[in-house]
Amino acid sequence: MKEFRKKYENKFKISIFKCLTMPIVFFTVQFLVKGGSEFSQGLVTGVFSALMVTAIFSLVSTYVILHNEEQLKKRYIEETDERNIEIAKKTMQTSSLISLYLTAIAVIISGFISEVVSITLAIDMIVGVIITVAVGTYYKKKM
Amino acid sequence: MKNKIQELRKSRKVTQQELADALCVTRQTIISLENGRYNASLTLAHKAAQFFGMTIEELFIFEGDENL
Repeated sequence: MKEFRKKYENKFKISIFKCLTMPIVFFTVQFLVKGGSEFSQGLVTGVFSALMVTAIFSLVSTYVILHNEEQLKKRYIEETDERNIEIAKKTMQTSSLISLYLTAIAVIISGFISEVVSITLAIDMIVGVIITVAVGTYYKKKM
Repeated sequence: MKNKIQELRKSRKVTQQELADALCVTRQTIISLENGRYNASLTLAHKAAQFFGMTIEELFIFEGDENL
């Protein structure tokens, strides 16, 4: 539980850092794209607004959790519950497998329509497989 | 894997939430364990056995090669 509290304290510090640096980064980027199109300016504003909202939300929720022992324990149980962890693992495993098969089908179908799209999808699939094999090898050595 | 969690919990008049709090898991995990939909890890089995004051073998009934 102490480690969990520490994790949330660090999360709180990161949220403060994000909230403080985000406006500086935003105005810097906004200054850089000043001469750019309306679309790029709008995109930058949209992305930074979304990031700012999530950072503030994270800051407030972390603060509330850190100052309420009951909430902290509830969150600890939710995050460390072994069934939830097992569900998350199986979800990731199944969804990545489905995604891989769907990409393979998309590679074949797009091959008849556009060569560029087909090659892009094939590269994406190959990179995905390489990452899976690399991560699998890492865990085989670790455990 | 079958277990005696529900039987013991009811006999000791412990609610699912109380057991969940004691074992540091969610109430849903206790429900799944009682229904036999989820098999506890060694750590959780140990905690549950300690809670009921018995051994893991007494609490969980191993029925052979379940996952083989």
